[in-house]
Amino acid sequence: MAINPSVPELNQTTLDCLDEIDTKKIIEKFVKTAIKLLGADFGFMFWRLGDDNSYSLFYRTQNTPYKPDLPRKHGYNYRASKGKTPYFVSKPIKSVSKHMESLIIIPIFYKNHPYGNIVICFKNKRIFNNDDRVLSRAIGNATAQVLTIHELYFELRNFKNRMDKSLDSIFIFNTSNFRIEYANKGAQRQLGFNQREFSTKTFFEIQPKVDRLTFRKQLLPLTFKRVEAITIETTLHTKKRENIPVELFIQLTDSLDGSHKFLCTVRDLTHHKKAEKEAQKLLRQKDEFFNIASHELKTPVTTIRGFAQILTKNLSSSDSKTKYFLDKINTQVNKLGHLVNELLDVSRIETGKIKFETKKVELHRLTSQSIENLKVAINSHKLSFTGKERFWLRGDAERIERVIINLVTNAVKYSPPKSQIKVCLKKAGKFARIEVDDSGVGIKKDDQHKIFKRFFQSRSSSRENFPGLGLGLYIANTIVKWHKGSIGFKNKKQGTTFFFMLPFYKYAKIDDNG
Amino acid sequence: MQKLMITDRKNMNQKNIFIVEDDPDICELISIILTEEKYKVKTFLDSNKVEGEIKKLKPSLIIMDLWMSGISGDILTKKLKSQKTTKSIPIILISANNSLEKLACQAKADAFLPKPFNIKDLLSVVRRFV
Repeated sequence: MAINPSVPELNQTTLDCLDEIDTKKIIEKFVKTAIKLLGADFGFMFWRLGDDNSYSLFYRTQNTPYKPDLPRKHGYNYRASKGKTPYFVSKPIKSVSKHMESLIIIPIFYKNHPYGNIVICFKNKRIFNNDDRVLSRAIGNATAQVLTIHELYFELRNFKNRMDKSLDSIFIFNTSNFRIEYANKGAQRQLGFNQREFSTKTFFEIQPKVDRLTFRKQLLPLTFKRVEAITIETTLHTKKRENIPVELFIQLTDSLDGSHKFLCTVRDLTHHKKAEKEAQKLLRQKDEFFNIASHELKTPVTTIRGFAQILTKNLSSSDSKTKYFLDKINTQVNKLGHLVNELLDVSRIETGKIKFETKKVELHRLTSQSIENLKVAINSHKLSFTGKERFWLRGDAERIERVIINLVTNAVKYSPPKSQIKVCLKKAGKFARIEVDDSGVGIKKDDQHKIFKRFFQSRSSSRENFPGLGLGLYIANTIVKWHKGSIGFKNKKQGTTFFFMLPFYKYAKIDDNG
Repeated sequence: MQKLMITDRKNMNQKNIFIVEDDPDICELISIILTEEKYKVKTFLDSNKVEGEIKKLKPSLIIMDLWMSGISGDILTKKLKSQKTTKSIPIILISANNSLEKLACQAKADAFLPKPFNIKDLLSVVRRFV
């Protein structure tokens, strides 16, 4: 701070302004001091706006006889600012000559940062000497220094205020000994220590499960500037000896003096962990429920199916009517069993408990056998299969068959009786592609993005309900994705072609001998 | 030779098969299926009474449900398989439980049959042992 021993009044003004929080009052004090020391009559201050040499009138003494015009470009103010030294005008300026004869323009600069110009005015003509020059320069310097301190103080205060108001805990700690140099109010609230207590601790001391060496190792990538920030999940120890789960976000910051500090933002994970535990508990309960529900549902299915089969076995061949009724019972019971399995699969998918086998599968054989089995069960439609290539892949044969059955079952459900359903297997680059083609209702545009979602069911325009839980395509999608394949559909003029593709590792064409 | 074979088959089918199942309808169902195939069966709705009867009747096969109100099927299987006098009796675990295969393996059961099952699947697995 520039203290001029020969101008005690200027020094006093400087010291008084250090406690001043109002910028206007600071300028007022310096302008009035300048008027007094230089023997002037009135004065004002222009505040510089931006880099383009424009100003606004910030302050004028009460006795300023006119409203000063804003400085013109390349006028006296410009010259003073460019030279960074006071500019003295002894001859009258035409436009304001009735108010003043001389003036001094004192630029206020601190380390190339311009604040503006103080203008000191003399009603009578004045010849300026060296003392005036020295004094004017001292006034400019003192004003600039006070304004800079003032600015920095407010920036720091605002910054600290924001840090303290932050709901996150913020720490600054030393890079070599990890001593805590700053902890915001959030950190003090969270852990229960005050700033003084924190300053006696190191950052790893407040982490009960981490020692100095481990913590240093964790911060190495940051210390060597290999990363910009690191995130660590850990626990912090409170004054009440409780441990709270947190996530640390740590950055390395540079100070103006070249020193480095760690800046750490702490996010409390207590609620997050609680929610995670709750979610896991719900998943477990859901899984348990599905297991019990499926067990309970399968029990009566076992009984009905078993007795229906006994009756079928004991029927005489001439009793075709009873056989027909029993076939109906068998079909519906199988359907029920199938639905229970679907519900169970969905539960397993959602809880991540579904398991897939990885065995060699030959897709042509699997598909043709599935279609033959389906032909026995499906009398209502004409089902056909074509494929002239064999594909070998590693996967779960039973689950792949489930996809084929799902797609064919959907085709049957959504297309008119006696219509054709064509299944074909062909090569598509590195993938085996199975297509199921029907001439049914097709998929409405609004539904197209939803069909692989859980419980989705299409409704026709006649509000007809199609049976099922809406899980088949959701399950099929999961199975295909697990096999690193893809599933999709194409709408045609009449009907839809559903397809799925699976990657194979071996392929061969089937000759006429098979 | 043929006569001997027929007699043997008749004798085989007269061997006792224990059905341990707390659901009376399923118990009856399995009993009917096996009886129609000329097997001799004894049913238990209460799994706690099985051990005592095993010593008396020495069954050729036990078909046991997994989840029962008394001692559960996998625990009883483990127990029988750990005893010298009963470990050679084949045990088939049946259940609607989704982890049946794993539990049957852990209990050292000789086979498992998931519910709901077809008659032919039940008979096929029974014929492996009697």
